[in-house]
Amino acid sequence: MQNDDVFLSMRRAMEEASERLFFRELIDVNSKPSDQVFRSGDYQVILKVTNPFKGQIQLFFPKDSAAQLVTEMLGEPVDEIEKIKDGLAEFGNTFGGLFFKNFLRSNGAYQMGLPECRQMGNKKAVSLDRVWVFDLDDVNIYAGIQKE
Amino acid sequence: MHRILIVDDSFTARSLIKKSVNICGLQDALFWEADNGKRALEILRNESIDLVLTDVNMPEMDGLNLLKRIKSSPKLFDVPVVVITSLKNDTSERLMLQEHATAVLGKPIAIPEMYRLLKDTLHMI
Repeated sequence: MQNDDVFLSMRRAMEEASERLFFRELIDVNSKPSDQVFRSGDYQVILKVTNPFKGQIQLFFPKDSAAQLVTEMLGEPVDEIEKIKDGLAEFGNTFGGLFFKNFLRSNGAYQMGLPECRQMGNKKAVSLDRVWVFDLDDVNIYAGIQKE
Repeated sequence: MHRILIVDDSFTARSLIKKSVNICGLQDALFWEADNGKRALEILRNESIDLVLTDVNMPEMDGLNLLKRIKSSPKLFDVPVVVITSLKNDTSERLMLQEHATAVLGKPIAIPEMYRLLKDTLHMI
């Protein structure tokens, strides 16, 4: 995988997913070491990928913004943890599909598993070295790819 | 009044699909919801449904198997099935259409696309 293609595909996927689901514009993207960005209690969405590579797409949402993002998505107040997890997992699912649509230019096959969302207990459990930081106005979402 | 079955394992996705249908002008639609294909078949056996909107990637029974079961049943064959999936690409779309899906929509749902589809499928004004 070419890093430039991955980055551009991630960026386009985040632009479209955040505008259409959170009604938020992507302001900026940068890259950071993962141990600088996560806190215990943040939400992690894992998408297992089996084709065109084996690995995971991981998204991270700050715990302080997660309920607000899902509320914006559904257009009604959401504060139950299970509904927050479900909303973030659905965002991850949509983001993953858009990433591959851009990365494979609509004509390649890809396969993802069901998205899983959990709250992180320990930031050291994240095995990614670096993540992209997507600035959606006053909320940051983080994303990374881990290949097996 | 249109009777619509929404099949998706995500509560959020089902809510977003319902809102999209409402925005497209079907404010009085009656909705049934299922979180997998198996549960959807139970509903289809007991209710008269005008349209099925289903995800693909689900536990228990996925959307492709649900589609095959509906289209192999003489009783259910005429029920239009629209697939709404984040896994949309040329290959998956062709496969779903071969299995007699009415249409395949990608996620996130584009309202104009959903509107055209509902208009054609349910003969909305």
